[in-house]
Amino acid sequence: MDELVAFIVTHLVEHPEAARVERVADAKGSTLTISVAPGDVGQVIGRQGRVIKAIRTLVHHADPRAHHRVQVRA
Amino acid sequence: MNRREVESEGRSAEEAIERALVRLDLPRDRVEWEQLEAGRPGFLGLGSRPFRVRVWEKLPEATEVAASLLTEVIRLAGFTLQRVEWAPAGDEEHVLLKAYAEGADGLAGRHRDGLDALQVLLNAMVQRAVKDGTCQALGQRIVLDLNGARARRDEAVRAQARSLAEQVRATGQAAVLKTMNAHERKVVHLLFQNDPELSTHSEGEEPNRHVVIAPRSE
Repeated sequence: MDELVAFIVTHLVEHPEAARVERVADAKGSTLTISVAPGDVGQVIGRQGRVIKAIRTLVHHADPRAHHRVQVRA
Repeated sequence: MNRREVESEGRSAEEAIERALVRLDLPRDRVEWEQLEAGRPGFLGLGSRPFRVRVWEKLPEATEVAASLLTEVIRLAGFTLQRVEWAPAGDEEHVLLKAYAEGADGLAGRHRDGLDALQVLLNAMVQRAVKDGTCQALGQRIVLDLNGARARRDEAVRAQARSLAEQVRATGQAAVLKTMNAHERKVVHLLFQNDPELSTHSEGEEPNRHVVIAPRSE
């Protein structure tokens, strides 16, 4: 899952070298934290959150039984 | 990304291109070229002038890049993309990408929201590649179908619209379809665009926009 999100994120941003995806497992599932260069946050979120919403939906469908939360930070 | 290009010379344009290919280390079908100066063969080296050309690496088509991005996304999601097919999408602004991956129906989602998500991400990734100069411009939005899920969904939307249309014809009263996304609304508009009795339009704000089917007024 981390790899899937990392692949997508690095192909969305202007500075792929600065992009990271970290996963922290917790009781409910896990939290995926996407970190990108400050100027690239908008690329990962998209207009009206379209892109981040799509990432969350895809993550959910790729592994419906796990509860992955996805967050973005610069 | 800077495009890879060289200028080169030869006794003919062909020779100049061949030399450029060696320097670029690319096969002939991966480059485009233009002539900068038409040379002259001359006689025994007298009055001869070399042909000069500029040769550059041809960028891959956006469709090729889109297919390989989708292949990788599907692989990382645990499936194998077996086949893709490009088709017209019914208007100038869109192109249809039909993808087939065995067992990947779950990715599309029961309400096809997964398919829409994949489509949003694929378009965003292709636009990034175009912006980075790693592929040619596409100029169209990709409409993605996976294992026929969108085609089936569109047919279900048409069936609902036809059934409501019968009601509108019978009663003469306008009626409202359930909330739909832009693609589904377009499917409905296209269905009735040449209908002599009925017209359609959309009302409401996203994400609660829906189509109204109404009798055509005089």
